[in-house]
Amino acid sequence: MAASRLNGYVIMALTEPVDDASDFEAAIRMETGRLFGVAYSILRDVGEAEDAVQEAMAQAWRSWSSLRNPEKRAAWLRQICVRCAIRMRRRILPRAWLDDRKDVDRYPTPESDPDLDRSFRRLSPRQRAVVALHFEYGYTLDECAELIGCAPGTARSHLARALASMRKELGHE
Amino acid sequence: MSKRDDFESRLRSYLAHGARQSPSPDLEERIRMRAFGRRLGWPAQLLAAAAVLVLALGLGFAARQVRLLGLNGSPTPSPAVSPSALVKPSAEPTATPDPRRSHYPLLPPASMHMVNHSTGWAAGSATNRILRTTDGGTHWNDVTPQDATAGTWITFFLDANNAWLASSLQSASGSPDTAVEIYRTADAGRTWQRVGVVPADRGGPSSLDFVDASHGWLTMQLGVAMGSEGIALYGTQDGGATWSKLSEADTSGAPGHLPLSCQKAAPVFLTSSIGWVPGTCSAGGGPFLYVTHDGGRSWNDASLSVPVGFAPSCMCGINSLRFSDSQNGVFVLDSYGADGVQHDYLYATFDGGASWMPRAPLPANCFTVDFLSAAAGWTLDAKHNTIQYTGDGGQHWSALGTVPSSQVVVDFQFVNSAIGWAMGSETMGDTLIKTVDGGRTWTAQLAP
Repeated sequence: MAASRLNGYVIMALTEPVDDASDFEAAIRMETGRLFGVAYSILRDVGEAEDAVQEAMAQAWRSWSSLRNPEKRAAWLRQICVRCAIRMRRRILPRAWLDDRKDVDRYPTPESDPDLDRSFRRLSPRQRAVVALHFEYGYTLDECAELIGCAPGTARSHLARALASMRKELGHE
Repeated sequence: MSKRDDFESRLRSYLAHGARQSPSPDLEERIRMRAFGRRLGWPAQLLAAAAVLVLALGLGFAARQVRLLGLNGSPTPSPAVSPSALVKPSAEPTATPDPRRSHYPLLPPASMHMVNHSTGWAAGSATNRILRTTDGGTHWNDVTPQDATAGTWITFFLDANNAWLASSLQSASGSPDTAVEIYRTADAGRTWQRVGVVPADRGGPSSLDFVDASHGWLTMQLGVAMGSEGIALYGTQDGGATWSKLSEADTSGAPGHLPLSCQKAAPVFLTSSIGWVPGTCSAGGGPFLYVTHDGGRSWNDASLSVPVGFAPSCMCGINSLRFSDSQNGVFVLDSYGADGVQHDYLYATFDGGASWMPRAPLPANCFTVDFLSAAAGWTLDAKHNTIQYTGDGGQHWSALGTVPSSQVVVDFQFVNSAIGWAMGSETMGDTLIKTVDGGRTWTAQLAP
């Protein structure tokens, strides 16, 4: 164990001889596709979802050795990815200028329900996250709250407002 | 098919369609490059090495010149580490500290429980870490049980000395072993013993509760479907050494059974026999609050009356069910109108939970409460992170200070009228923030 100092407050730190790089490499292979799925379900944009996954993995790598239990990494990565996806939309970046990828001419799959898609995209990032995590991934609202980083009551509020907004817009009231 | 079913079916179809989208083939490589840096070819590596050599020679020459001129400044002091703050001796420090190894202990989900103004606990479930403070949060000692299985950790802190840890390989892993190991400390975390195993055959642990050093309950979450949740409740009467299954939610509808429908929050026990399971139901379900009077073996609907203006079949949830003493307790009932607007109402009991009565609506954006007595309590405006105080049992609220968290406050707790803590959730970890003036000003104590 080694002592470390966090913001001036002393705690004990546990150090373990782990091969972080190979662990992380395995996580990249195992989790990238799943994380992309989660990010895409919130952002509905391939480029932004990929950016969110990259950002999440970069953040995770910085704290990789903090997790003693490798079994928890998938859940932890998902949490970071959801939060990165929520923040992603706040950025106003000139993507067309910055994008140096080779697949810029790859278009996303046309949405199956353009009206619903339009309505979904009008929701706030947190509302979209709760709707996607709850309806697509089956998380409870308490779990949604944990994933997006809010109190359970707030997650319920996001869901209720999101559903009411979409129902109203689509004439399902 | 009703309009509601039609809409949900349409939404699911839309979301499922999006789930078939796939990322670019080079996404994994881009992640590697970002994490590990660009891999250089040998000519580039040779050039980089030469550049480093030139730089080192230059710096050496410059340092020599500085020494000759007698201008070398005073060395930067290393951070002072108080040995008294550490429970265990630290090992040899690594020769080359890796700044990436920050080891921040409270990666979400994390929790805190302050016992009094000086003593408290905090736990990082993701990091398998348990911390304890005896100086009001200025210093935190790592009291993690070193030999505990590093699975899914659920903790419960009863008082300054007694705490329990439930560790399971479920549910993050694919392990077929569903048993839950129970660890206990009775000496403030100095030593932990593996005292028992919960013979769970399904699911993963979701909450742990004790009312004294003997009587405790472990909830296993068995699965979630849209609008319903399966749980099983296990109990101990000997401090965690032996456990037996008490009840499980089912679809029988029989008296004394917990229903599978609705999503359940963690059970809250007041005594070894009386406890509640609060929950949230989708539209038409009404308030969900089940009560037991036999220690968790049988459960019955508490039959809450809803406040004026609330529909009995509301889409309702119950949050913050907490007792300030053996008689006085509160919870928040939230309800959603067709307009999507949430209404939150404070309920209180003054007879140990025998009856719960609506007291008053909460201010806007307030979903959770913490009461020290029947009269004195705090709530949080979750939109603005503002703490509000009542001295008359929730009839009137006054805004105090704002908790500085760049994300959101996930929990808060007061130990007396002046001192309280809040836990904020940020991307790289949960933060502990303290007030010593009743919530007017807040200072971060532990942050990533």
